[in-house]
Amino acid sequence: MSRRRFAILLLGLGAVVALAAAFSLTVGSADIPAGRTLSILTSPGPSLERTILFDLRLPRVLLALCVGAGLAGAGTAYQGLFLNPLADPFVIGASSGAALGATVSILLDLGALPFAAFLGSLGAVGLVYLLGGSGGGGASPLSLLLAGAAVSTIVGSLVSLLMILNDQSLGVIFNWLLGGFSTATWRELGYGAPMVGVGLVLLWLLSRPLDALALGDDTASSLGLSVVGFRFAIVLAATITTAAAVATAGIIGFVGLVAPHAARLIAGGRNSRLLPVSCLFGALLLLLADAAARGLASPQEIPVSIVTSLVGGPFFLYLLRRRSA
Amino acid sequence: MNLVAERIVCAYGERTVLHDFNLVAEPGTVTALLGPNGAGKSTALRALSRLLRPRAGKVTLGGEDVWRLPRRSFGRQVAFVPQSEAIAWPMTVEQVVLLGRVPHRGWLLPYSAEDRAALRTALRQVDLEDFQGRDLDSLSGGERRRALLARALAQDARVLLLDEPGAHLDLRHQVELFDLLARLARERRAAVVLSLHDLNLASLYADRAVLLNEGRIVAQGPTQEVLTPGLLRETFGIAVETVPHPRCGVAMILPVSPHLGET
Repeated sequence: MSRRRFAILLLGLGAVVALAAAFSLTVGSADIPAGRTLSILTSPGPSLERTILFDLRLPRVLLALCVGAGLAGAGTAYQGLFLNPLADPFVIGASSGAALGATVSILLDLGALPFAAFLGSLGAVGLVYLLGGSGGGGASPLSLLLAGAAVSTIVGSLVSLLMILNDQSLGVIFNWLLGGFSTATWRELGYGAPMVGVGLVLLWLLSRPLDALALGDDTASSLGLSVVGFRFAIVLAATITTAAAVATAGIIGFVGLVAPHAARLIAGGRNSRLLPVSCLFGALLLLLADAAARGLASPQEIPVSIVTSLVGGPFFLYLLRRRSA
Repeated sequence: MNLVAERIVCAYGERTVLHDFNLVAEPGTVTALLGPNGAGKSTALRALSRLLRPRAGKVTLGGEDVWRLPRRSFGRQVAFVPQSEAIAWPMTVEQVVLLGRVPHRGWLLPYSAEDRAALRTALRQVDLEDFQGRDLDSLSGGERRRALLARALAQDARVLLLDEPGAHLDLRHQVELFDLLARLARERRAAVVLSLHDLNLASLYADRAVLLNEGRIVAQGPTQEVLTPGLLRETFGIAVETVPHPRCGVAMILPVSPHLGET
C-alpha cells in the first residue's frame, strides 16, 4: 500500500471512530435527543442535560476510546513479540495481577482501586518476566508464555480464594472484574489516558525492532538489535498500556485479541502501520460495545466485557475462516 | 577486511561443540564449512557472526575483537543468513529486505532513497524483482530463501555468512545462488563463508574448504586439496571416489556402496 493510500485509510478510520464516538454520546438511559447533543454541549450555563452529557457520557466515551486503543495496541505488540496469533494483552499476567490488586484494594478498603490494580498488573508481569528469564540468556518468548500461564493461574486462584473468604464483597469485586465504564469520570480519564498514550507512543517507536524480531532472534541480532533489551522494552511499554487500561476499566476481553487481527487484514504486517490501524479498530470496537452495553437493556447496563466477548468471539471465528479460506 | 577466528572454543551449557576452531575469511574468497550433521558448522557460523560468544579464543574483524565493536557497526560489515526461517507472520518481501538496511538506517528513521535502491538491487540479484509486494508466506520454499538472502544482500556487508544457503533450492536456483555468491566474492571483494552438505557444489564454487567432524577441524585448505577420498572417508565415515568434472575438471564426489553394484 502506498503511503498516500495508507494516509487516506487512517483518516477514514479516524472519521469512523469520531462518528461512533458522537453516536455513543447520544446513547443512554436519559432521553436526550441526538440532534440536540451538540447544542447542549456548546450552550453555556448549567443544565441537567449538560451535566449528563459532559460529566457522565463524554468522559465515558473518551475512556472507552482510549482503553480500546490501548488494549488493541498492547495486543498487537504481544502478538508480534510472541509471534503467536492467540496472544492478547493479558497473556503474561497483566489482568490477573490487576484483579488481585483491585481485590486487595476493595477488601482493605484502601480507596485507591485503580492505583492498586495498576501496581498489581505491573507486579504480575514483572514476576512473569523474572521467572521466564531465570533460565539465563534473557526471557525467551516461550518461557514468558509458560510463566505467564502459570502466574495467571496462581494469581487467579488467589483472587477467587479472597472472594470466597469475603463473600460480603463478592458482588463489588465481581462487578469490577467484568469491566466497564459505568463509573468513568474525568478523573479516571485524567490518569488513564496519558499512561495509555505514553505506552502506545513507546510501542510505535519500537515498531521496527518488533518487525525485526519476527525474522527470528538470530537475524534480528545480526542486524544490530539487542534482542534481550528490546524485548524487555516492548514488554514494558505494552504492560504500561495494558495496566493503565485495566486499572481504569477493569478486565475487558477480546478487544486486544480481535482488533490486531482485523487490522492485519487491511494494514499488513508492518508494525508502524499495523499499530495505529489496530488502535483505531480497538477504539471503534469498544466504543460500540459500550454503547450497546448502555443502550440494549436500558436502563439496565450489561457489563461491557460480556458484549465484547459476545460480539468479538464470532467475529474472531469469522476472521479465522477468512484466513484459512 | 579479514574475519578471523583464532582457536575458538564454543559450548552450549556443559557440552563443548567446537574445539580450537581457526578460520581466515579473506575478501574475494568463498569458504565452505563441510562435515556431517552435528560437526559444528552452524556453531562456527554463529560464533563468526557474533551470535555466540566463544568460551575461549576470539573472533576478530580487521584485527578488532568483534565483541568490542558496536552492534550496528558489525551489522554494516557482516551479514548472516541463518538456516531456519520460521517466519510465521505476514510480512512482505519488501518489508523483510528493507530490514537489512537497519544497520545503516537505525531503528527509527524512515528508509531513504538509498535504502530503496539497495532493496531493488538486492531483489534483482536474487531474481525476485516482481515479488516486492508479496507476502513472504505466499512464496515457495526456494523463493523465501532467496528473499531472506536478499535481506542480507541489502545489508551491503563485506562479509557474508550463510548457513546452508542451498537447502530447499532446486538445481537451477542452487546454481544461480552459488554463481551469485561467487560473483559477489570476485567483483565486490566480499568474503563469503557458508556451510553446506552438497560436496559437489562446494567443489565447484568454494575456493577454500574446512572439513569438520565432531567439533574439530579435520582438514582445511584449498578446496581441491581437502576434498580427497581419504579425508572424506575419515570425516563422513563412508567410502567415496572422485572423478573430474567433464567441463571444469574439479573433483566430483561420488559415494561408493556395496548396494550399488558394479559394472
